[in-house]
Amino acid sequence: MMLKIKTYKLYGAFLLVFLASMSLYSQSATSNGSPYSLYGLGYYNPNSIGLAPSMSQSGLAWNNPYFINDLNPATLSGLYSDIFILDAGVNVSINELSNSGNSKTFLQSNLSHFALATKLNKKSGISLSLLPATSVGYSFISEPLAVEGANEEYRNVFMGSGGINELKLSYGYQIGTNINLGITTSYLFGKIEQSRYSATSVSELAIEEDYYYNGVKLGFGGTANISKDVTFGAIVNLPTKVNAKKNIDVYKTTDGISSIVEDENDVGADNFYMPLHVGTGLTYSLKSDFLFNLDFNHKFWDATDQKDNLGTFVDQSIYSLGMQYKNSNPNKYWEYFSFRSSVKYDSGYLMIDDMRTENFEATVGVGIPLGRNFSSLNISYSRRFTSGAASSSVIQENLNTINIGLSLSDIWYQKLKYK
Amino acid sequence: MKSFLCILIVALTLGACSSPYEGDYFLVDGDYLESGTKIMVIDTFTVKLSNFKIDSIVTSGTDRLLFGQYEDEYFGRVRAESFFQMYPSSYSITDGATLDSVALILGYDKYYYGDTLQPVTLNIHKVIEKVKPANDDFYNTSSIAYNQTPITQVTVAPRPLSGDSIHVTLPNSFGAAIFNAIEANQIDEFSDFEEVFKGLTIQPELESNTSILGISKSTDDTYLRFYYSLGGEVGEDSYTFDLKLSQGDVSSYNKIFSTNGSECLSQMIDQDLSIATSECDFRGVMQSGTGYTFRIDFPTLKNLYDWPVKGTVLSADLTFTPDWGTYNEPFHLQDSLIVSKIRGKNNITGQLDNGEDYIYANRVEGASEFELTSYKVALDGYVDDLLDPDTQDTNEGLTFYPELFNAMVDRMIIDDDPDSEYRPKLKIVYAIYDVEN
Repeated sequence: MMLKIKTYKLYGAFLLVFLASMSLYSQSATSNGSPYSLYGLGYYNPNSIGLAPSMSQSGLAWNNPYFINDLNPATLSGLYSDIFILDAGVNVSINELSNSGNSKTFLQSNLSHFALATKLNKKSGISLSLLPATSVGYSFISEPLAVEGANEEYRNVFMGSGGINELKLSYGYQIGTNINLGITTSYLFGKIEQSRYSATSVSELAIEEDYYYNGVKLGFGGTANISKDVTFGAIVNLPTKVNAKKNIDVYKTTDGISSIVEDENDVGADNFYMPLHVGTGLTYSLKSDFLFNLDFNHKFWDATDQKDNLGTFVDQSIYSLGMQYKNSNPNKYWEYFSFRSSVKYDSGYLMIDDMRTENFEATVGVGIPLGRNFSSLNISYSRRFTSGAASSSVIQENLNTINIGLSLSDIWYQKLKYK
Repeated sequence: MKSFLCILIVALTLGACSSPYEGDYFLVDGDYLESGTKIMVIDTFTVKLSNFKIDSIVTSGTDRLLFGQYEDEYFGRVRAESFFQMYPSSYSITDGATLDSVALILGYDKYYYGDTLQPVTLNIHKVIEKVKPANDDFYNTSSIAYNQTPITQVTVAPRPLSGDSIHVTLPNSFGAAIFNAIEANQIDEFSDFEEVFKGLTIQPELESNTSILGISKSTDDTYLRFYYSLGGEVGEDSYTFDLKLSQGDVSSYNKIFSTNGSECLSQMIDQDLSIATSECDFRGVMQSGTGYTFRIDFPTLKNLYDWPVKGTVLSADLTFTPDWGTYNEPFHLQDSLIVSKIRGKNNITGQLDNGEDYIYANRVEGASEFELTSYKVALDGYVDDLLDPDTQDTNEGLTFYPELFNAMVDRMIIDDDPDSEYRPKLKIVYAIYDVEN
């Protein structure tokens, strides 16, 4: 009886934190200053739940018993028996932007995710997560432009903020001894504010558009143990339509007096289409201390036939390779530490000036054990380079990200035993 | 576990508190974003200038008496006559008082127009009709009958800026009639007073070419003074009895008119008539007091609609320029002009405002010695109204005149020469933008 109450208390605390984090989400603008967040729904945040950030989001086939693997719902059934995991993280990023003319550095920090997972029974696991799927955060100013027909200049300023949040419920189930299957469903919602300001010496035109998005996404996953050491995994995320509506507010100011040019609410806006996403991966364990993930993901953007500003959405391929070292028989405290490193190549999904916004990323990470059970603090550092020469339209960005993730686990039945 | 939760909450809070880089921009080339707003200046709209004459201007109720005459190069003979009644503060003078002398003191209010180096000859007449309008007001065109024989004629060297007043000694024969009637207690009220004294008019000499002067209606500056003594001994004790003007009512007004003007001016016999500047040597004309002024219309403004793009007017400035050489000393230009809306056949509908304040045409000095002084009006709100799809009335324009249009004779000549770079111009700063809705 005593136990039951304790359990409920803990659930309550988790729920409280979850709700608190949700409210923080809705208030905080998450962004890393990426110029490419101008396009579509913004910058696609890499999944940062559990060990994903330190493994460059590789692990489609990784049935990790101690951490939430949000990449493939099927892996939830591989969680440790009776485990309960709370996972949250913070991203700190330094983004160095440069184009043919100049460069600038943006520092940004934001909440990266919040997730809960538990084993429902011997064969199935479930997770609930909230993460910023995309984020918009850009502010550009143009070079001075000539006012046609006059000896005057003006500048255009572009600002964007907001993003799409994803509330995701996943379920994994084990069939037989070697096959896991999973299903995941997401609710996408968010607000993106895009503003444009043009100002001469005496007057200004402001165009403010607030886009409201929502949609539902469905995905499936599976893993299969091919041998004792090798697992194969695959996912399919179905294409989906993200519905858009917007409010328009256009106003001008001349000699300090403002007047409304347009003010419309609930105007239909271009819906956004998320592509079909398929991924396959292999996980290989070597001498039980080493583990390797090799993943390939492909997003069929071509089929969505979308363009935005100077950019065209094109098919995207992502290759990622991650490796982990973890002592399988730790005795001393430091032997419980785990070490990871990974690399990723992303072809990018935007074509600007006939150039892909492809990028390459390398990451190192460490897992620091916390107390009993499998709780740990996971810290990773990654550096991402966009390739291709910077031109007037293509902006090169070097993104440095530090992810600090906290994964807290508790095992119900162990408590029972200790009592 | 509890401490972990605490750490977590702190971490989450830190994460949420990150500052977005507001006001910190990354510089991109102009062509980076196609969707950028384009700003341009359009100054090719037709600005149609025409002249007309306001039939009548209310000239009673002002603070100024105007009189004088001068020959103007453009408006011909410009003449101002003032008509006024004067009032005593009481109808009693001590019995046995003896009138010594009478003088009309006309205090300058510093306004003048024309060459004040020339001596001015004035004729003071008694009016023989009451200074009382047939309706509510007197106009610049109103006339009152007066005794053709002047009470006196005086020639003075005007000093509107350096002097205090014009002192006109009037004959005792004129003063005695009024003075004696009051002293003899024959006058109890204004109607009795009016029987003896209906007022005065100041008529400038007919064939003169001097200046027009402004006289203050203040009771401290302008008065008709009777000097008298008691006890029959002249020079013993001197006393005064004053008649003064009543300010702000219809007991005084100025008649202002110009004659022998150009052919262009002589066509303006009715306010309904607009005279194209082509008939006026390509000039816009304006003269305070007499009612001449000009009107500006924008007949092609609605063409802005023909553009297949979305846009808005950021600013609209109308500029017009007085002809060089028309405002040299002793003439001058007003600092600002009232802007009024005018419809159809020169029907003035009201002063232009921007929703908060009245809009004025302000004088702008040329930036260099090669640039002329001009007037500039900010018309962004007005142009927006004209462009409003709901506004069907394209027969609306603007007219301009000084604040004291009814109490002075300042005039202005506007350049509308088709070959001149100083022709009136409407400069619109237009922003073309792209928003789908």
